[in-house]
Amino acid sequence: MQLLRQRLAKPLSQGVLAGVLCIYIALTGMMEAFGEREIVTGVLDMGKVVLLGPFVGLGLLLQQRAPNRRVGWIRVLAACLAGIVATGLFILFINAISIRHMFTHASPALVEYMTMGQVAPAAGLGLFAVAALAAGAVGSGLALMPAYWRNTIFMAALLVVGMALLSELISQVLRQILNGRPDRLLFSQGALRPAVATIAVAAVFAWRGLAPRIRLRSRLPQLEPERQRQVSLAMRGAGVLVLLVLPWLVGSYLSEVLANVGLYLLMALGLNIAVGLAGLFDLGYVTNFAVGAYLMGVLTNSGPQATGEFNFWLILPVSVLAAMFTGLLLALPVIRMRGDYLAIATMGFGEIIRLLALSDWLAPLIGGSQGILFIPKPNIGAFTFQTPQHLFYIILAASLVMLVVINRLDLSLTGRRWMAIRDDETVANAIGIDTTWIKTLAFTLSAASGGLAGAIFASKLGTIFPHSFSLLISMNVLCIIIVGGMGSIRGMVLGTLVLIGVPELLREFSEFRFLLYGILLMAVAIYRPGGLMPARARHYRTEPVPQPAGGTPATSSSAASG
Amino acid sequence: MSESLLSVSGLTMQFGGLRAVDNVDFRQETGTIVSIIGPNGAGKTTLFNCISGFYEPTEGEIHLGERRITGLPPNEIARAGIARTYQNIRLFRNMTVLENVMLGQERLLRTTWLGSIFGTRAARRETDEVVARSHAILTFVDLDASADRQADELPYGDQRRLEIARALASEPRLMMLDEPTAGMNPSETAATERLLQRLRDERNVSLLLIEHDMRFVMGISEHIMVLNYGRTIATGTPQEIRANPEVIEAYLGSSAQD
Repeated sequence: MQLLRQRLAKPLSQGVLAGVLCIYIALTGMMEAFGEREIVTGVLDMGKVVLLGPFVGLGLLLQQRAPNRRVGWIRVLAACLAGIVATGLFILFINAISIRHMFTHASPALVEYMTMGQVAPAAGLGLFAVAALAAGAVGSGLALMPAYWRNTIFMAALLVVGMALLSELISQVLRQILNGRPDRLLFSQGALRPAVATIAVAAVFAWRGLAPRIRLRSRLPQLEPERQRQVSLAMRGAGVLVLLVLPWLVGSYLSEVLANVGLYLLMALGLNIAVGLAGLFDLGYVTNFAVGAYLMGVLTNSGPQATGEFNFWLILPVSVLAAMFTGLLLALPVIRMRGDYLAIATMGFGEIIRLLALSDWLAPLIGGSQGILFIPKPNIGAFTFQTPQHLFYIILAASLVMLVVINRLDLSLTGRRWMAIRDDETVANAIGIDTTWIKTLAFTLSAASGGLAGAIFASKLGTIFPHSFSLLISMNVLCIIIVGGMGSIRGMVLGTLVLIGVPELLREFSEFRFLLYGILLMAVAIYRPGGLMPARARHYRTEPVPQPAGGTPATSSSAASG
Repeated sequence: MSESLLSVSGLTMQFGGLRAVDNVDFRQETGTIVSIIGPNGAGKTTLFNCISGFYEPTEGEIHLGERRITGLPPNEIARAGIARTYQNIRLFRNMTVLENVMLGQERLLRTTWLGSIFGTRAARRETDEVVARSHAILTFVDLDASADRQADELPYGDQRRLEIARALASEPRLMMLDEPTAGMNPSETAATERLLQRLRDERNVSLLLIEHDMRFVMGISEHIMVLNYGRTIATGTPQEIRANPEVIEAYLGSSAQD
């Protein structure tokens, strides 16, 4: 008995932990909110996924770590029972005693949801217990099967969940391409039809089953360098083409989302110079965004603060230069600080800018808390960039330009200097790098992109208010860099899509956005410290330099990047 | 001051109540290998840090050739032609071997940030030249096969050699090496000795070393300076140092009579 208790202490405590996780998710209101989002009509919804997910996890982890199958099954059973008891007691508790004055989500509706919609708690609890045990068994089963098929199941699950969550996007695109309502074949009320889900799963299994035999290996590496360059150029061209038609495929709302993603991408690319390349933790990046936005607002608006009513295209470069100048000014006092001190000082600048924007002192010029109104949309001649679709193109153009510039810097000798400072500032100084100047340069150039984003933001929205420039923006951009992968340009694109784009698509999640950010940040820090797409080493082509007399201009510095 | 490469006069470095370097004078001729020896805490690394600009000396003067470099910031001193390595290896660890050597050439570079942004022809050509020179230097120290590996993946001895390669990349007039053989086995030490001799003979670099391995020091140096408690207690050729009773007393102990 003693022995048994010792052996099972750990699984039992882990089971209780899983139960606590369930309770926590329930009390935040996530479970009910997710419960309204069906994945497969009448079969599965997101709430059930988060309710039973911890039990699948228990089964998977405990079975994987067990010395043999028998011990594994016993541990999983013990853990699941512990989890069920913990969750069950909680359900009975909130059913008997109302704690809604403290936890507003601990409602009868929650009890009903967690007991699988049964009115009688006893029957409902039984149903919950069976479901949780089944989930644990599924987890164990996953742990016992070959990794290839386990991954196949994960892929199928991801495909089904992904299709269901993005149902609106998929429907929209389908409706643009085909006539009628082709989306009705796939979805009913935003959830996948069971038949479609079955086909999707079958398709994944068929593909994974056949893939080893078909050998769809990429032939790209076997091509000659010249052909390779042509292929990659063609692929890039195709990518740009897709981006060009994208706003018309996805419609007005999603174009708006894409435009926001683009603005954040601009900021992430800029801040990546300071944080990712030069290792300077700047927590006040919103400063540059605000300077760009306010300059655009003040100089182009036709409202009470009208000063000049200049044209968008004239003020755009001015905003960028002004942001760079602010970046330079703010760099001067903090340039000798390192690490944490730098982060705190720059965070202070971010707050100062917001307070200045809010102040009565500057109100006659920039409107104070009233903000700036009547900022015109950009135009070319008689054509005005009115809709989100139109504005998307301006942001796309700005993003492409910045991508090219940042990619060049990333591979250049200047980029090397920044990275040297990031790795060891003292040694960088001792090999001849003027670290003060190169760091100032990082702040200044990193500000440019933020100013650009701010200027476009002001014109896109038409109005700006001080509360748009909170610390949260700096934090969001920093999160993008950490999740995407510091110093990795592809990581910035992916990070922006994941952190800014996806939450916009999943409106049920938006209430829990920062909870999910937190979980994602922790997961990245633990499992992928380099980010989702870590920066790759920069390789330079190794053939000898062509002689200047040879006539062919040297291009080896444009080799592969990270 | 005829042909001196480096001349240090009356150099003193005071940290609070501690005189880490106390009124040190010495002179190094072009093309020579000079070693500084002395017990732990004798002020050898502090002297290096004064010369390379990490510390601003309390008193005294340092000249490189005719140029006064006392109190200049480290980047100016590197540009004047002094490169160095560190007692505990300090590479740019998250960058490739090639990139480390590319960065070593900083003092020779003309590319500015504008050239980098606009990808000018001059900037691209310079990058190509830097890459080509880096490969040549890596070949010289026999590390070219590892050019694309990350610096901190290299074995210990290779990391030491990479640090030397990075210093060599600036085509320095004087290279200061802080314990280049620390932690090496006898065969690695012998290889380092050959490398340093080739640096001097084939690359015309003058070397200033801090070293503890006596066999190595006596074999390679033309001139030796002994520090103890921040003071110079002896200077001379290896033979003279070996025979100096004060040195034997302070530092070498009985092992010098081997």
